[in-house]
Formats: sequence, structure tokens, C-alpha cells
Amino acid sequence: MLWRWLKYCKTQHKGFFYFTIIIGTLYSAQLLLKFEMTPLGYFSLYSNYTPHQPYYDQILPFDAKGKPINIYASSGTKFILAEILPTRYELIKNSPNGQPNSQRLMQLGLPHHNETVCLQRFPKWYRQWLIANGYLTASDSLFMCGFSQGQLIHKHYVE
Amino acid sequence: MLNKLHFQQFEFWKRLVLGLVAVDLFYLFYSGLSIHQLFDSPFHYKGLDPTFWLLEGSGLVNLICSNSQSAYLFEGMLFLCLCLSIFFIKQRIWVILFGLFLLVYQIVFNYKLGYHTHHLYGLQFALFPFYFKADNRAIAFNFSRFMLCLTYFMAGLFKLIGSAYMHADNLSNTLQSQHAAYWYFYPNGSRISWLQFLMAHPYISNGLFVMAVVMQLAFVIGFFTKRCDRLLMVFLCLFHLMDWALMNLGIFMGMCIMAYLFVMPRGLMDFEGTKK
Repeated sequence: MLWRWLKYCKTQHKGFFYFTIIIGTLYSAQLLLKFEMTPLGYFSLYSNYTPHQPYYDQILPFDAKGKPINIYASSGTKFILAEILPTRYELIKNSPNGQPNSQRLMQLGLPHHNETVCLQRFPKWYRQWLIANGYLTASDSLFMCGFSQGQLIHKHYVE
Repeated sequence: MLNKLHFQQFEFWKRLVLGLVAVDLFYLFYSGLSIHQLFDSPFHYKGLDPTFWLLEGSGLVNLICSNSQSAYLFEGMLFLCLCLSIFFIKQRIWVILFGLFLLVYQIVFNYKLGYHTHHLYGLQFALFPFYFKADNRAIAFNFSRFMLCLTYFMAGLFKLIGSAYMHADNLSNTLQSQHAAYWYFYPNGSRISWLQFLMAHPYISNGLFVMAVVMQLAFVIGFFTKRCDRLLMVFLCLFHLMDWALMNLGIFMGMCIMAYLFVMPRGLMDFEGTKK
């Protein structure tokens, strides 16, 4: 089927055939060199084993009373952002060169940048974002929380 | 050769796909996944993606994110192009412009989110065939269909190579990690109550994981025949339904729009009937 389609493109629609070759080459290159090219890309999430842990970490914003804010009590799938934003902040902040991909970019001989400086205003911005999105009691505090079986086991301040 | 019926069918499918894309976009914007809510975030994510570098180098990101008005203006143009492409269904220019705006939205959103999300990936390939003239349409529909099969097959292959399925407790641990805080906030919620069952029975949860991998690997069939297309459509929708139910990743439900590529009328997909 694929072969027949390619053969047909080659004989009847040469332009499309070369377009397919280019896309195929780019797709293969991103797999081999482990980068991504939007709008191509690939899904490799959850491919590796998730080991059992005594507790599982998640960064959460806290309110002024020192209680974690329920980020899931929001419209649609908004909680995804409330999950991703502080996680990225923590990841970038703790990366050796202020960018999780820096090492790989260096290996490929490409210019890389440091985002740590940009992140200095993150806690304040994130609080503003939370308030703008309906989490009215948000404070400036972000905590790395350890959960086990639905219980909050421990927390430590993220800054 | 394409006849009048084919053109009517084509317009129906184009309207249907654009309508579903509109529903998905409205849902995403309702969920706060819009640029005007992120335009001033401190993130400048470029990642390992040349498309991000190109867009940043062009200065377009700074232009869109310079203030909330410019972000609103960009989003207004995105929806205007979507509306025009639905109303002027015969004109390709609007859907091409909409696709371009959608791509820029995807990149700018990820750039200011600081993370390479993939939830709009499916929309690009769903729209792709509508960019072409009648002569190339069937070829383009098949191209998108192959890309869809490749995407899901590769996702399954990555899971096969990663060999997480070899560990019986893999999905049980993943679920505990994924719902760590959710469980805390909704200890008696309906989702948690049946997820607890899966967490407590790792062999059953691993069975579901293996099922998901098999469903993804099955997309390789799409390279060889169209006879199983309806089955692949079911697999595609079932996979994302499971993704939502198990992982709370409803954000990816928009990917199901691509399922239309498996149920298009034969006349529109038959590339050998459109010889120049």
C-alpha cells in the first residue's frame, strides 16, 4: 500500500514525491539525532519503566494559610499548566547550564542558552498567573510535596 | 476523475474536520491554554527544535508576545481564519492561513510555557490534505494517513524498546506518580476509586498497558492495507479515551480528529483515480 503510493507519486506527482522524501529524511533525522522538528515530532512518553518509590513528588502552590492549593478544581484541562509551569521552573533552575537541553545542544555543536536569569521573576509571575486564573488565595510559595497513597508525607520550599 | 459527488463529499468532510478543530480550540482556550494568558511568562524555551529557533530568529515570537493586545490580536486572527475557512469552504487560502497561524500558535505557546507539548500535533496532519488542489488531494489524504500510522506505530515501538511492559508494576507506579496530588485532593473521587483498584492489581494494570502498546503497534497494518482502517479508527479513539481515563490527559483528545482519515469515502482516498 505504502509502496504503491510512493511508486504512484514518483510517476504521477513528482513534486509530492520529493516532498515525501524530504519529510521522511527529516523524520528519520530527528529520531537518529534525538531532536524534534515541529510539526513533525514523535511520542516517547511513558516508554521507560517507572520504578516504585516510597512517595511521589509534585510541586504545588500554597495559599497564605500554608495549605496546598487544589489545582484540579479549575475549568477544563487548565490544571495541566499549573502542573507544567512550576515543574519546568524547577527543572531549568536545577539544570547544570540553566537549560535541560544544553548538554545535547553542545554535543551537536549548536548554540545554547541559559534560562536561569529569566526565571528570577518566575515565583512572582506564577502567583499573578494563579490569581488571574481563579486561584485567589495563592501566595508566593511553591512547595515540593511528597505524596503516598493520597497522603502528604513531606514538603519543602522551592526557591 | 473527481465528479460533483466527490466535491460535495470533500466539502462535507472539510467542514466536519474544521468544525471539530474549532471545538477543540475553544475547549483549549476555555482551559486557559491561550497565548494571552502566557505572553509575559519568563520562559524562553527553544529546546532541540529547529522550528523554534527559526520562529524566534524571525522576531515573530517577540512581536506576538510583546504585550497582551498583540497576543489577543494574534488569537483573533487565528479564529478569524478558522471562521473564514469554514464559511468559504471552496477557497484554500483560508485553511492554509489557519494552518500557518495554528503552527505559530503551537510554537509560541510552547515557547512561553517552557515545555514541548504535543497536543496540537494531530490537528496539523488533520488539516494538511485541505491545503491542496483537487489533483493532489487524494495523495495528500493518504500522506496524512501514513503519517498518522507512523506516529502511533513509532510511539508503540518506543514503548517496546523502552521495555517498561516487562515490569508488572510499571503502570501501577506510573498511576501513583501521575495522580500523586490528585489522590490527595480527591481521596473519594470516582476516578481515584477505580484507579486504586488498578494500582493494587499491577498485573491487571500492566495488561492494560500492554493492550495500549499492542494498539499502537497495530498501526503498522495501515502501511500495507486499508482493510483494517475501521479497526485502527477504534484503536485511535480507544487509546485516547484510556489516556484520559487513566492518566487524566484529556488534553490529547483532539488527536482523535485524525480518525476521519480512516473513514473517508473511497472516492476521496483513491489516489490512482486522480491521474493527471
